[in-house]
Amino acid sequence: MFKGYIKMAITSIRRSKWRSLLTMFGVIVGIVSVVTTVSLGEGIKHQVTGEIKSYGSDVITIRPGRLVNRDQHGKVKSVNIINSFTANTITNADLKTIAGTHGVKQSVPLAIVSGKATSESVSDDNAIIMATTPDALQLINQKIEFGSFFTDTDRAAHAVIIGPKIAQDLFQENVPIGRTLKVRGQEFVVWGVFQASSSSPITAATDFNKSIVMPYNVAKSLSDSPPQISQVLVRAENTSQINQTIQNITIELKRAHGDQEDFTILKPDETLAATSSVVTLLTSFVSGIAGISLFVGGIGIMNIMLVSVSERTREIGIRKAVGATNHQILSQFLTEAMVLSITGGVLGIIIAVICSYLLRIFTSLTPIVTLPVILVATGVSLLVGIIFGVIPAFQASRKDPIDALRYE
Amino acid sequence: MPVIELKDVSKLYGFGDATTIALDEITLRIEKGEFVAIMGPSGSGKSTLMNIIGVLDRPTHGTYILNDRHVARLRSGQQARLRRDKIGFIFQSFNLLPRLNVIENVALPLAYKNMTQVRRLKRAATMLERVGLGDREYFLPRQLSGGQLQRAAIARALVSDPSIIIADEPTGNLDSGSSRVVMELLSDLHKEGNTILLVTHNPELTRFASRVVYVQDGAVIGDEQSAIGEVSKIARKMITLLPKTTEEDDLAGVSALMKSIPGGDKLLSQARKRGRKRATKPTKRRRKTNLRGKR
Ligand SMILES: Nc1ncnc2c1ncn2[C@@H]1O[C@H](COP(=O)(O)OP(=O)(O)OP(=O)(O)O)[C@@H](O)[C@H]1O
Ligand SMILES: [Mg+2]
Repeated sequence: MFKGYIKMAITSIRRSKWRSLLTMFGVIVGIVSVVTTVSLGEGIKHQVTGEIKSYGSDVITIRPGRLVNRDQHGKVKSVNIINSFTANTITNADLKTIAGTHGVKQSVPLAIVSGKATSESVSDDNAIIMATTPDALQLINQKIEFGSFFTDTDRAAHAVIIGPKIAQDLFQENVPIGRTLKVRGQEFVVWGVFQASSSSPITAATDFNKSIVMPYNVAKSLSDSPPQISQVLVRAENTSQINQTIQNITIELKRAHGDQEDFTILKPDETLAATSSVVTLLTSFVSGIAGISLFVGGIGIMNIMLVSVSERTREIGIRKAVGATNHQILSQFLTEAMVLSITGGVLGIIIAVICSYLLRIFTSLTPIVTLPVILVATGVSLLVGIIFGVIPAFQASRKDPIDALRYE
Repeated sequence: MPVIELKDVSKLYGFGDATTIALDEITLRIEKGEFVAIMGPSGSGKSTLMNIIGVLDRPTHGTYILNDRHVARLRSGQQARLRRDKIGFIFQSFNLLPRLNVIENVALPLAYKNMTQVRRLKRAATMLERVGLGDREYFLPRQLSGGQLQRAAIARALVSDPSIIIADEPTGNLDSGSSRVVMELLSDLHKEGNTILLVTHNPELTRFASRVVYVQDGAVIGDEQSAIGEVSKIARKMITLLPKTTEEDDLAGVSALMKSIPGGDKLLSQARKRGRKRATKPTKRRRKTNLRGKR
């Protein structure tokens, strides 16, 4: 019988294709926005997870600004996303403080050098120019594909290690070792090329595919103001004492900053948690808006179903006259609303998948459409059909057979 | 034991001064296997009566017992099942679903019964064969003639093997040839032991009936057994009492009747003249009691 209802629904929807398509539009828009947003969020979380892996799971991150609020147990309570872009509170002097703190084995700054890179023929605005110290190679876990990283003896060398994307963009070759590029008027020789890694747009400083890395000391000489330190990566002497080490750094830095905690120390897993909660917040915000669109889509379905029920009063009369029960009429119209909304949902999912694919190709975003997202989207569209289809279906089922038969 | 039993059944429409009494305390028993022709002028309540007997409508007052069951006490689902399994309703206007093809239309009552599609269509095909539409299964209703439509509608009414067949002016929209085919089908069904109720304005058709009930102003004013093959006496008598209502559309109903008797055309033109005169001044309604007394 259920198959019969679906067949009836499909026949009746195909009878007025355009009307049905317009009716589905709201649901389509809603589902597309929800699925795309959630997929973007998934992609970002995935990248951050990958980033932590690339840092090594025992690396502490120190970032400028107060990024998180903690409760009394030290758990991340909330995240201030704005601060992460504006703060400039970790200074050159702090690097020494951190390096000298008890329990710190290695510490490297990751600093941003503003400016663009040019080769003889091309200039690249998208390159992320970073400065760091030789130990970085062990902390970022980023492998060198060709050539080598600079070492302690090359602290003042005008050398750069570049990402594979930069190699292509600036030199149109995979291994441009020995060639030169210019940053802020100074020439640098390419010493090495990084292995390709999964890109991570949210923490742009660590997208090594698009990066140009130079010695920190050289970067200091590029301009009057020291390069802006976006994070400091720290490895503790003893992995089991990470918490103790964090506490030590906190005390030392606070002392240096006049008792101000204007920095954030994140444990390896907290980097993920902090990013996740930002992403979740954004996702739920956009999903809320998409929810409104789904609601409007539902109203559209209800409206069309009400029109359809009144247009088809005579049909209802005939069906009842030959023995359809109220329940069977209700099921017929409810199924129709459900088929409408689920078709909209499926179309929405297809469009969202296409959108995600295009985003992957044309932007650095990497949305991931997961099976749960698809299932939830399908479920939600089905639910919309049920919620907004039940009233029209109920109206249809309650029609008096003889009145319905006489309806013109 | 009657299959259909009506006790003091009334049907009122509207309220206050605008109340129409469509049925006025009708009491009627119909036994299994009867072929009852229902006659009466337009607006006398025949269709209302059929709709109530067919469980499409419910009476305002009175009781209706169908197969020993009080219909009013049944839940709507049970009433629907009665319509589906026990009653085959044939309408003057066919009432086929325009977007389903003929065989789907015929199989419609079975769709509401848990029956597989293969069995449904097979059964519908048998029925279409029976009414002589075996070669029209996949036509849409709009591709059929009036007579074919009515035969399809009859096939639909018969598809779930009902014991009661109600036909409300089934030949009203058909020419005499098609009417004959329809009537023969009904007659065959009667011979098979089904109970048949037929509303008609055509006295000729009472030849097929075993009983004629005459309704006027919502009441039964004549009820007699009639030999099959003969036009019933009461039907003939009523011709002389007609026409009597004044509305223009009533005249249309009368004209159908007039055509069936010799010299009807002349009578018809007289009736038209009379009708026009009457339309200007309201006339007293014929008392129904004197006829009732005769029974
Ligand atoms: N839905 C309705 N609302 C109000 N009055 C109605 C309704 N249906 C029928 N009536 C009235 O009830 C009376 C009986 O109508 P009914 O249709 O039963 O007549 P009928 O005998 O079938 O006539 P005909 O031979 O023209 O088909 C008429 O006076 C009609 O106006
Ligand atoms: Mg009628």
